[in-house]
Amino acid sequence: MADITTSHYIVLSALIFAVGLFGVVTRKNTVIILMSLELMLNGTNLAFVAFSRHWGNLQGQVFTFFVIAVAAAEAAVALAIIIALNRVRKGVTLDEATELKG
Amino acid sequence: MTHELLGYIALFAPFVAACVITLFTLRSKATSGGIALAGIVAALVATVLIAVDVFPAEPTTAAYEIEWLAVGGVTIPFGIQIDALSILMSLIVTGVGSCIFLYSTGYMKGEDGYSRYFACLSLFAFSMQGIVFSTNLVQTFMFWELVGVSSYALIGYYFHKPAAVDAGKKAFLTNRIGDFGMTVGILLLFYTLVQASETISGVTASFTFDHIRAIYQDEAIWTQLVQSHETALMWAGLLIFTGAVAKSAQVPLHVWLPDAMEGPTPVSALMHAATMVAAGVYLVARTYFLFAQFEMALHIIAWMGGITALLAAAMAFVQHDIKKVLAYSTLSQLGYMTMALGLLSPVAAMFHLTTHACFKALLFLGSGSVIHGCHHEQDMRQMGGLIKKMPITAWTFWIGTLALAGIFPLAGFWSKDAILSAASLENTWLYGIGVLVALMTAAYMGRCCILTFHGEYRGHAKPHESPATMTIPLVILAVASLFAGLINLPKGFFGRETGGWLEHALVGSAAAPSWSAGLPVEEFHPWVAVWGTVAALAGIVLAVAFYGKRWVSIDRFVSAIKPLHTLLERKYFFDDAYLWLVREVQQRFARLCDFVEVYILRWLVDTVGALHRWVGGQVRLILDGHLHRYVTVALVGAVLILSYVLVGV
Repeated sequence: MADITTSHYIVLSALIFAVGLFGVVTRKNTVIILMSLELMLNGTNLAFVAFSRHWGNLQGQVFTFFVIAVAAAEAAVALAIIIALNRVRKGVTLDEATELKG
Repeated sequence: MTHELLGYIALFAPFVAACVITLFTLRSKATSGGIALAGIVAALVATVLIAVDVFPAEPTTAAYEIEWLAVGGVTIPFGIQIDALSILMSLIVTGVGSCIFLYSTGYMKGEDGYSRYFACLSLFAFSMQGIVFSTNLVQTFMFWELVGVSSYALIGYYFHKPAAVDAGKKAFLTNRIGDFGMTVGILLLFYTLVQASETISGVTASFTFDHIRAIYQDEAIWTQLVQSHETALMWAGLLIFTGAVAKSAQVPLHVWLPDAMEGPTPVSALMHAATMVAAGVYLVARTYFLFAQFEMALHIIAWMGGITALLAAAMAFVQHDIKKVLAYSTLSQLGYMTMALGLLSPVAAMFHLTTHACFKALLFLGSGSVIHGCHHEQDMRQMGGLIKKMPITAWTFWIGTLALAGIFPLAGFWSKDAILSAASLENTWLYGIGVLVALMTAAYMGRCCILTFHGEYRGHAKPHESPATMTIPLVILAVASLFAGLINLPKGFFGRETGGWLEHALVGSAAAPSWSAGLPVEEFHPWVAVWGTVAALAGIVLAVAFYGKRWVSIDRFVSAIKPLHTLLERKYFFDDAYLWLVREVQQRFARLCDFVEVYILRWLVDTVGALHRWVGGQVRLILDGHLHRYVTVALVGAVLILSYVLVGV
């Protein structure tokens, strides 16, 4: 079995990120979008950890912890917004939520 | 107490009075009047205390200064100039002022805004004292403007009367023209000195009178200075003189003074006859070194004064309002003073200023007493025979008239004689004008007295003598008008070997205050005195012939000189000319400016704004509120930036 090199990790990370981005751009359900966002974040986390191993230091891993912590906070805020949106709109799709119109 | 402290008291006592009245006693009339009177009397006492030291001593000058403003390398001091000139002027302001403040407590009784009146009057006294004691041009200018403001407030005292409001505005705007010239003059003088200081050693730029005078009077420096900067220095002097032209109401900026008679009569007496309008003469006397070296500037000043004296005296004949007669008379006498300044006789000018302050204040207060007694009637056609009803007013008014006409030995004789003597030596034409004006002065004042006090009463009110608060100042000023001439008996009068006391105080020594040394000493010329007296007597005889005995029909005389009469009644069309200038020239220019602003400048600005709005409108089409598009745009942007950074496309 061939060795798993840093390149493999980076390709996987890019794939996860792309999947997440695709979900964010195409899906209408805010819960799905939130999940996709988490995918994007975790894609980057994977890249951080991979580079951390590649260079033999801990900076990337430390950064990952920060990203996870911020992602948790962001998820809490986002879920609160989704609940509020559900109360006002009786639904969680993005189609009608166009208040940000400039 | 030191002179410095006394000087500050003389300056600030009226200011404190004005503040206290405004802040605390607006509702209590009696207290306000008392505080104002206390303020001016305190200033008078302080001035007298300095005067008893300064006048007997040899003439010196002293400036007590504190640093007030320091900008870059320039420091502008604030201070008190103590010398014979400033103390004389301060004595006039506070002495005549005290009489008029006392008079006002009677005259203004029962008026609305009594406290406001006294606050403004005190503010005026403060401003005037500021000019008098000023040590430098910037301080002078500051108080010059303050005088303008208090004058505006007092002319427009009856602000419910449109005429009074207009008169206030007219006075203010006309004075602004002169003030503008004065500003430019001060700056030009300073700039020239800065320029000169780079090439000529011993010259440093300054606003202080003593400093500039030292430069002008140092012969070595002056020779170099005049070679390189003669034109600029002369123009600086003349521009500073324009300030005096407006404030002292010389032709062609005289138009505000007759209208200023809309103010209460004591205001006319104090400001528009005795003191404020004399500020211009005082300024020129104070800065005489600026002019003394330039023959051209002196000629302009002298002729401006002579022309003003003549034109104004002629206009006084056609006035029916008693105050207007006195107003034109004031113009004419100010012309005399200015003429004396231009004839190298600042002493004569200051002497005439002093005596004129006494008898013109007396005449104005007398006219106020008449107006008060006749229940606010100012038209002389509605008066007559008042000598029986108000004897004190009538007699003091006659004393003032004779003093103004220049009858020996009253105050006006001496000062007018000093001016005529100077004119007879320097300029025959101006001497002729001076004698003619003396005749006209006696004639129109005789007309005024006869119409007011003699013959039959033609009005409908019940005239009565005024209360003691008004007659006491009349008597004080009448005594002053009788004897004020004694302060400057001329050299050569009954074998006197020295010049007058005032002459000695003002130019007696080389260290004389702020004056150019080496001015000719006034001498008594018997023939000048004789002709002056003959002219005055002839004027009175003419007045009696026309108005007293009616030997000549006035109507027929007027119709014989119809064009001249119209010219005088329309005030030489000065007002019409200025109105035309504003309506036709200035208004059109303003329209042009308006057009440029609206259709060119505003169009440019608006176009820039519209462009931005259009771009913004286009851009915001993207942002329609759909989060997906926001994300897409962000994605595209990120890709573009990344591709630029990574690939360099």
